[in-house]
Amino acid sequence: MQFAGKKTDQVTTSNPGFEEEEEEEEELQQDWSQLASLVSKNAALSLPKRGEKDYEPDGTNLQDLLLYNASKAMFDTISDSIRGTTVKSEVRGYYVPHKHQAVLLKPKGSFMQTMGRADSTGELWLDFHEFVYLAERGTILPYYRLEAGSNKSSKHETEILLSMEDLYSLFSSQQEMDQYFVFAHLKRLGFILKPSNQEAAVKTSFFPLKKQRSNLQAITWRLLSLFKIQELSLFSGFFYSKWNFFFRKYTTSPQLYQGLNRLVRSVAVPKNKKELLDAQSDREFQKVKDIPLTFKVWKPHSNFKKRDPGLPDFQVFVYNKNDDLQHFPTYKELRSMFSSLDYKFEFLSEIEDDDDWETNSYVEDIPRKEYIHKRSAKSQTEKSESSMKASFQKKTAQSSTKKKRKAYPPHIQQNRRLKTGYRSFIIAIMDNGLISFVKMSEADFGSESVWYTPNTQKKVDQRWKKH
Amino acid sequence: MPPLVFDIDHIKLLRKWGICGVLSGTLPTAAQQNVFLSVPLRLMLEDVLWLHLNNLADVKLIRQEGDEIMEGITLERGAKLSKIVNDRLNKSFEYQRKFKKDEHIAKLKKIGRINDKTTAEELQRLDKSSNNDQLIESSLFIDIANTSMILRDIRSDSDSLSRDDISDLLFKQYRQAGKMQTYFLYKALRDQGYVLSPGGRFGGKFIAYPGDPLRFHSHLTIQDAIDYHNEPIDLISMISGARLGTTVKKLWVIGGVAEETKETHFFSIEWAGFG
Repeated sequence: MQFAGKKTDQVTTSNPGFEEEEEEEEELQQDWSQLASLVSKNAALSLPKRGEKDYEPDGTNLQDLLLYNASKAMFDTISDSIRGTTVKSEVRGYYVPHKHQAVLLKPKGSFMQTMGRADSTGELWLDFHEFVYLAERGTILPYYRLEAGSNKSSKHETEILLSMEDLYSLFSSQQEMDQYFVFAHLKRLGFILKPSNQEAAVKTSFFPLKKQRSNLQAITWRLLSLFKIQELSLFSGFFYSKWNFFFRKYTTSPQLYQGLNRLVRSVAVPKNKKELLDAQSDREFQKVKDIPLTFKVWKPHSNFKKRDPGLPDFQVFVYNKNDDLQHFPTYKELRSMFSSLDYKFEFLSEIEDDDDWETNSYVEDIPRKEYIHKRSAKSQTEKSESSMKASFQKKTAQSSTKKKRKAYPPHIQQNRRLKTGYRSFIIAIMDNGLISFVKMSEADFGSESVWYTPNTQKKVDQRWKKH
Repeated sequence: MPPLVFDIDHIKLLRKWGICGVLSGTLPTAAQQNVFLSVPLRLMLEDVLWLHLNNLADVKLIRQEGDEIMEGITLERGAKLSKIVNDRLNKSFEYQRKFKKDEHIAKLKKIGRINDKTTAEELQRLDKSSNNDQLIESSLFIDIANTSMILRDIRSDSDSLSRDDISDLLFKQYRQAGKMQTYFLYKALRDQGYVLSPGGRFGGKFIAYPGDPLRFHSHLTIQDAIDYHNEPIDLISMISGARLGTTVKKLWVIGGVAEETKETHFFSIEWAGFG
């Protein structure tokens, strides 16, 4: 297990990557607005820096003064950072209680690339955690509109601008609020998040569509998978008992170690594409109840499409260690979580870049690349098809020149396999507002060869050359 | 639901009392980082218990769901709330308009287009020619308030409850009876002047600072309370905690409450360098 995402003492500078942020900054620089006078133009520089700390109170005025300055800087920054937006950039979001969602009647802004779903009338519907996040950073204004009821004659409907406390009181459970905190944390870092229980219009999976199997095939597969998973042999009990050493002669140390390796049972961990697909087939017959992972996470990139996002880069499970209604996943639950993973498995050596991932992920049992071509071909004319062929040839030429993955010495690769493991997901542990990220990986200590095998052939050749 | 604080003045007051909590909201002027955050402030259950038992906070019990509260707003009350919000915004707009116009006049004087002798009519003419009023209107800032007006008026179920009843309800948040003693460890450390924060990252229940965390390092990792007369102390847990404490420069502290005398006792374990 590795701890990741700990807070560091380095000062983080604000680096807005969205057009809207740049526009707002330009507006602020142009206008001598109230916000500019309250918050310095270089907002990042006015943030309180983490200074040096003492180990114990010494009762001096200097220490009291330093603490006062630090506290004043903190509260001044919090007070000066007003949430909201200008009239020009106003976007109103209306909370709809019976759906637990918010609707934007006139949506605009760059957040639409990664958040919300548009309906047939052009309105944008936000999930509740997206709604709170956007209101909290000032991108949208949260409103609640009262229904007209019996007083339909009134011209204006009543709208109430909600406060942050109102919004937080609308969370339906502590678990939902904890998930929101993790969502906001990762969003602030730039990641793109979607709940795991939401499927995009175009669903992409690493695994082809599951095929129906007959009962006989199911029974056969179950028997075979039993031996495969445990790497057992019918003869292991006999050949590797103490009598084994009477019948078999060992001439080198590696033979001893390999024999011991075969004797000890271990669970086989999928290491390549074929084994992953086989493990997926095995899972169909185990029928284990899944604990759903919370979020799918994509790294930030400008080509993200809500309708067709592709495989996620990470998957996250949110756990609150102080909520007695939850418990840390048991071994069985962890195994089922591993088997339900479906993301860009970064350890696969067969897949080297995003273009390869397009070929090795599936949409409705069709490789994603073919699906994209098929969909784009429908909307193209014959002339465009010829240009598509030309561009395809360019892609083919480019693919031949792509950089290969860097090769490492065998002992470093071995260390990485044991330390980093294979399939992995991230557990976000909530502790009264502090979030720690823990990476859970499958590592195959059972069958990994940890012994050094000298290259005897090479040595013999060298000796022969000398002679 | 976790306890949250939205009023900045309340957060300042809590800090004076030694309760720092964890700021959890996005800081809108620096929205792409997680080191410095803004309201709401998230407290621990022990913080709330301490505040209540020391008569420093009023605990209101609202059994309604948020959606019920929203749907329960009548048209009359909604119009009243809407008017209050609009009045606040209009007041803010008026202040912003005056501020921007004063800034504009100062700027014009600085570049020499006007001087003290300029008449009001000439000022109006200049404003019209440069669309100043229109620009000011479009750049007015609508701010989202932190605290709630809706929840403030809600009738509380706890009005008829005594303070002891509320204490019992708060203690019931510890679903395991044994964990209830953890509050008394918290209280004992608070009485000694420590400031406590969540300690999950360091393998414990709390970490303890000798003062405000803005100025001081923490030295102690506090575990959940145990009945040290009867409960065994797991050797592997002790080794893990002490070794982690060595790495992060904190003592691994366990404690409990004696049943007979109600005294609180602490024990600290440190990895020794012998051998």
